[in-house]
Amino acid sequence: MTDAGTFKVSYMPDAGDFAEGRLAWDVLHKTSNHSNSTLTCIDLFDVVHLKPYALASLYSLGLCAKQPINLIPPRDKDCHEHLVRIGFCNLEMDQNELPVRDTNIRIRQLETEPGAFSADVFELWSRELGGMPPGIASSLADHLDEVILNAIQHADSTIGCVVVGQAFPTTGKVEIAVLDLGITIPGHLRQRPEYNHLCSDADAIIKATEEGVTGASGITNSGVGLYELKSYCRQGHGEMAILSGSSIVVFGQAEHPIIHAFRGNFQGTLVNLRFSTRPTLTRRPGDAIVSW
Amino acid sequence: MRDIVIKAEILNAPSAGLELAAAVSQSISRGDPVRLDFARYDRATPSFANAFMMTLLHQFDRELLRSNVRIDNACPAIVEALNASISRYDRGIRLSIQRTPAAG
Repeated sequence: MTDAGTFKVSYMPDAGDFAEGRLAWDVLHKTSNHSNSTLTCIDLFDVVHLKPYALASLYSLGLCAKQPINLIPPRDKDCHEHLVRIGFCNLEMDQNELPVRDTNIRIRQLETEPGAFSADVFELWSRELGGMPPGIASSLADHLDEVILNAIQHADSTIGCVVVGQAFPTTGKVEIAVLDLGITIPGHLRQRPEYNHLCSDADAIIKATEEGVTGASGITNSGVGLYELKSYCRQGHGEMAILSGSSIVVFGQAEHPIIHAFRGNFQGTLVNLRFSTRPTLTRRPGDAIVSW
Repeated sequence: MRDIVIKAEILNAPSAGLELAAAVSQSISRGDPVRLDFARYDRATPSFANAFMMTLLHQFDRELLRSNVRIDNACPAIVEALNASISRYDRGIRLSIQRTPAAG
């Protein structure tokens, strides 16, 4: 029997894929309604795996809960260990007894500028994945920094943001989720009158990835972080999925992004990043000196 | 020529870019050319680069910056980030605090 305060997570909420529109709907919808949450228990008993974005969502529910939340751990041993390893919970398991595996970013709540966080993540992953081509680790750290800065400085999120990630050594891919529970990208852009004409949330998300577009006015921002990230993905080096308000927009190598509707209204922004760690970057010629 | 010490641990936040631009601005406003040594950095985010470069580009003539601000030991990634900011500025992109409020 499940009482009203219990959130039972289904068998495999991570079966989804942003590009194909199959998502952890139950987790995301629960997060979407975080402000009305009377949650007292999260039941993960049947869960066998959780992707970074599902973990970020569940963790944020814990952060905005009005009371401590009881967690029913997964019966699946690997999943249980995974949750402990990434710092989701201690679950009566001593982390020191677990085999060392540095393919995960331990869940972090960030409320101020990221400092060395992103650099540390990619330095660690570079070691774990047997190195990255020159410039890749710092380039990916730049992109992660920009997404985190957006969440912290522009979202007006009460929890700052939650960051969690995982590397996949066999494919050389990494996946990172950055989640805030703020005013959403459409809400941020519509603070400025020139963006009031944007009809849908998908339009607003796409607009936010154009160069120089920002809803900020009082703080220093130039609106290029998401544009640079989108351009990086267009070169075939990764994929960026943004869920904010009533839309999910996926930016990859294709000229046009893929748009999905999100039933309900996600009260925040989730940016899910997937990067290859083995691309070849080309630097523009003529960048030997700073040319004022 | 005055050496300005860059204090930021990592060049990834606009606040660090603004702080550095303020130090440069103060010095060259007094007629003191400056030297910036980027030797201990291997990257700079667009947010940092824009806050730093666009602040200076907004305040000073390009020729004055060319002759008064010397950038040393910048790795290719940092040179690229700084040049990209100049290019954006030339294409009309500005910091939010430099923009004229749109008519509502």
